[in-house]
Amino acid sequence: MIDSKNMVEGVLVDDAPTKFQAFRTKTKRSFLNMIAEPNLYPMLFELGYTEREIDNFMFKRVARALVGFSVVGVVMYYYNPGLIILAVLIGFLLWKNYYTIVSKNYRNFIFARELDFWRLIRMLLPFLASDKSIYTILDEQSKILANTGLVSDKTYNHGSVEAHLKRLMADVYFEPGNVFNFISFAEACSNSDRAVLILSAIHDKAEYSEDASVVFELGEIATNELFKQVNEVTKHKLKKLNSAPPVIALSIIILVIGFAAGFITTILSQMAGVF
Amino acid sequence: MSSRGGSNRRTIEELNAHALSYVAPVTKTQMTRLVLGLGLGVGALMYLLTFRTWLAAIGFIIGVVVAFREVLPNYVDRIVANKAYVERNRFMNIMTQILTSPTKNFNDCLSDTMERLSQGTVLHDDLKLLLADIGDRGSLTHFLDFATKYGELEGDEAFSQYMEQLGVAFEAGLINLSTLKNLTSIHNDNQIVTDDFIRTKKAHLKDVSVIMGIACFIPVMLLMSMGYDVYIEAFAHNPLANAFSFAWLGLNGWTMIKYTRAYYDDNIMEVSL
Repeated sequence: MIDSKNMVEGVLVDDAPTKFQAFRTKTKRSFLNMIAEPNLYPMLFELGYTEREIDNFMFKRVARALVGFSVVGVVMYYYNPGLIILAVLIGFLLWKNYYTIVSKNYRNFIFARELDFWRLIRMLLPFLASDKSIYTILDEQSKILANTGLVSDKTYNHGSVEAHLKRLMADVYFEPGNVFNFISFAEACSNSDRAVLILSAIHDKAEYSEDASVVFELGEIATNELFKQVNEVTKHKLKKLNSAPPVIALSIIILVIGFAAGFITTILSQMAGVF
Repeated sequence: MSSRGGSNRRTIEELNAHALSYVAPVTKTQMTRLVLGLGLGVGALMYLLTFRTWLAAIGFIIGVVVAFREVLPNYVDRIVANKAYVERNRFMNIMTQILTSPTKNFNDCLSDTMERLSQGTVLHDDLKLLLADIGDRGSLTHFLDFATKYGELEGDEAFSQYMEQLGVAFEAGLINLSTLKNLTSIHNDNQIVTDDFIRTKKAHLKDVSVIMGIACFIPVMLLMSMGYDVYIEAFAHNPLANAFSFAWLGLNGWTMIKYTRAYYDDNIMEVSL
């Protein structure tokens, strides 16, 4: 059923963020949720998966670990029963591997979302001085985000800043003047107090005030936060460069081994010729 | 700045056309030096490792192809993108300054700013067209087209937003200076960070070239220490040793191609994870 609250100007808004809020307050946990790591389900929710999808992942994860364990276990049982410990190890590694992948993706996602968020806020702040409505300003910024959005991976679409921004626009459209919409947007997109501060200041400027000087003070904070993220980007890109020198230096061994191998084979063939 | 870096393929004619449209294009000598340098380098290394002329020729061709496909487009792109960015930055700073003048009207401000920019660039031509067009009705659309061009093609968000604001200001006859100043300072900040980033990478490239030089000196050392005859028989004309040499070349070549792509990726606002 399509809820009218999820429609903005005839466009359906993704309600994954709301589902995430509903999940947070839920107390009863499923069996798969209980055997998973405590922060696995929340992480996948924030990445934008529904509970059913996550249960599916978990089911596959359990199956993979069990299959790995039993195949290696059967082989080892006939080969050497003492080595069944190897099967346990492989099953455990298969089980753990999934969590490692998810948490790495989650870290990357959080980083990308933080960058997107502060870029959005930095670009948004100057326009608060104009007499446009807050809805128009948000709409324009969402178009920019859609054009140059950084989280382009399909799997991240639900939890991205763009999705949360659409949610915020829907909320602003249907219940204008509610500061908690802005605060929950800030909480969903960034975990810092500064985000909440800035978003509530933006709301206050848009609703009550003609003077934008407070917001421009906050612009300084937004710039600093943005460049913190930008520093992370440059660090990440420099790290890519740093992987080259060790490869070049260590691969000299290949040349030396090649020479040694050639030398030995030449000497052996000469000896074969002599005898 | 999303047009900076990346591995987009272009023909040499397109590159030249793009490069020539800015102030001082990349000269033919520079391009030739880059392509021939890489080709001769790979060829010489191949000859040193195998002592066979036809393999050296193949190495030369591989070097030239890599230079044309991987290095040259990025090399030209970086120079062009930097010049274009600096030009836009100058426009924003000068325009914001002149707009504060109480006596000048909007068209005077725009033409005064254009006089101070470098003549003959793409930006200058576009601005000239804009200045001719905004006499008509519905001039906001001209500004919006302009903004779209620079926002989506060049990926320069701050400049795009600035032009949009100028359009709104022109239409309403009322200039919102604080917004313009803010956008200009965003543009300035981005330029400072990008320049720092490129400087760091250039220093890094110097270190890597030293290591690469040392690595390429190893065959020379083997040749000098073992003598010519032993070197030829045991290494250069030995199939097993050749397999190792090619593996070494392949690994280092692939590493350097990846390095080149990372080296020319100047975008500070986007990262592929």
